[in-house]
Amino acid sequence: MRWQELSAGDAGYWAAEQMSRSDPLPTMVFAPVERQVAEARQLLAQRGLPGDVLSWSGTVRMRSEYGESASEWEAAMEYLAMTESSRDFDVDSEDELPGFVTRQVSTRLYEWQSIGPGGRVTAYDLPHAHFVDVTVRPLVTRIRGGRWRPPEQVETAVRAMVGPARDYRLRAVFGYPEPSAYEAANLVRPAFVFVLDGPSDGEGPRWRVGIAVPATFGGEGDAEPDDDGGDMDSDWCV
Amino acid sequence: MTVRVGVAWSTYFQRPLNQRLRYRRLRYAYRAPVLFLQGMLGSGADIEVIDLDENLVGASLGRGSAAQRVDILYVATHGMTTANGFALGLHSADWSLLSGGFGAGGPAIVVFDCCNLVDLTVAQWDDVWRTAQLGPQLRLILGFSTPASVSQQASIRGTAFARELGLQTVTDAWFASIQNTSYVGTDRPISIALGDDDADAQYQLDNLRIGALPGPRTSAVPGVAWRS
Repeated sequence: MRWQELSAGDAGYWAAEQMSRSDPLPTMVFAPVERQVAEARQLLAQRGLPGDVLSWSGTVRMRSEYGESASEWEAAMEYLAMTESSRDFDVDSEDELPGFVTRQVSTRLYEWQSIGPGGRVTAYDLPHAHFVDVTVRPLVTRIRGGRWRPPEQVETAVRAMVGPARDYRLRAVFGYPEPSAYEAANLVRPAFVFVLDGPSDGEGPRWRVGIAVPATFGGEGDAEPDDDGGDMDSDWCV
Repeated sequence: MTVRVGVAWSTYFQRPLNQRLRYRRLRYAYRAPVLFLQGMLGSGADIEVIDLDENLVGASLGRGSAAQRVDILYVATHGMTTANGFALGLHSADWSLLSGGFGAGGPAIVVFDCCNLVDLTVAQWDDVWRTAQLGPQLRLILGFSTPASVSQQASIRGTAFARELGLQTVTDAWFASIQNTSYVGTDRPISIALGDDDADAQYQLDNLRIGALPGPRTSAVPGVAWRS
């Protein structure tokens, strides 16, 4: 995943740059969780794949009886090909992964990157467990994006997060922040994700906080926003 | 056996003016412990809320405290590697984990949902953990070897850990929970096990499960094993 390092003052410009590349991106709609669960169970049974369906999210964990990680990876890819044809893959760099993860791919929804923690396939190599988590929810439709959020609102959110902090490191990425395997999810909206790390030297604690600022609003079924940012969710600010 | 779970957190901090930027408010530090508690309640655990925010002080965690009555303790606040090991940044003061008494009567497992439990770049960093200041009941310490994200999204790791504990060993459950709830290139988990000797510590690291918690160690100074 390509993080971009920024200063808080550049956040609005950076967001505008992302937005300038296309019309407002659509909101991706997943099947209802019950349907995700039922279809995942049916597919695994039909193909005889060694997976468990997580009943709360409909995502799948491949775990073979013999702990053969290669076969689990193949089973995960086979399952993915059956459930989701609209995605491409990006292999995550080994430098970005802990030692207990043997490989991981992030996906792209059409040409736009899924920035996780969902929307990816992760192979684990742990002392008692070799398994592959497929946290890729099948898409059923796309809702047209209404309009982009004004970049100055993005910058306002980032400045609120940074506050008076000094010697910080701010990273940003744009895409679809698909939810983890531990959450029910019916849709995902494009967002700007910012991660802020506090001072890395000197006495006292470090810290890391983050926000996900929705990139669009006003799509089908969405209330029209205030231009002054009055719809902004105060929970972005940490 | 019913597992006893305790939680504690600090979300805001009082410090002298020149330290306030370091002790940033952690608005969402309550969420991961509460989500963990909720998940564990669903599996039949007994719960104990230790102390919160301004009431969470060193005495809440040390010898004779309520924290000693639980099997698993989940703490979220500021954390920092120090020359003496690890310290929690609580509401109005820091508290050094190795100040003595922690783990004397419990918990067996502690989760520090905090930044920088250890600094892996320091040679032989684990020597400081080989100390009689850690009580015999304490067998597993879970945390992060990096900063730990505090945000609405990342706090789902509390739910994740409760669910994974029913499926795997404690260390594996922690590792899967963090990887599955983090953005790529951010938070890294670590697990430190304490044993009668290094071999016993390694056994606990690899095998400890929530349904079969070990008894106290017999050695005053623990053996240590770790994985990240």
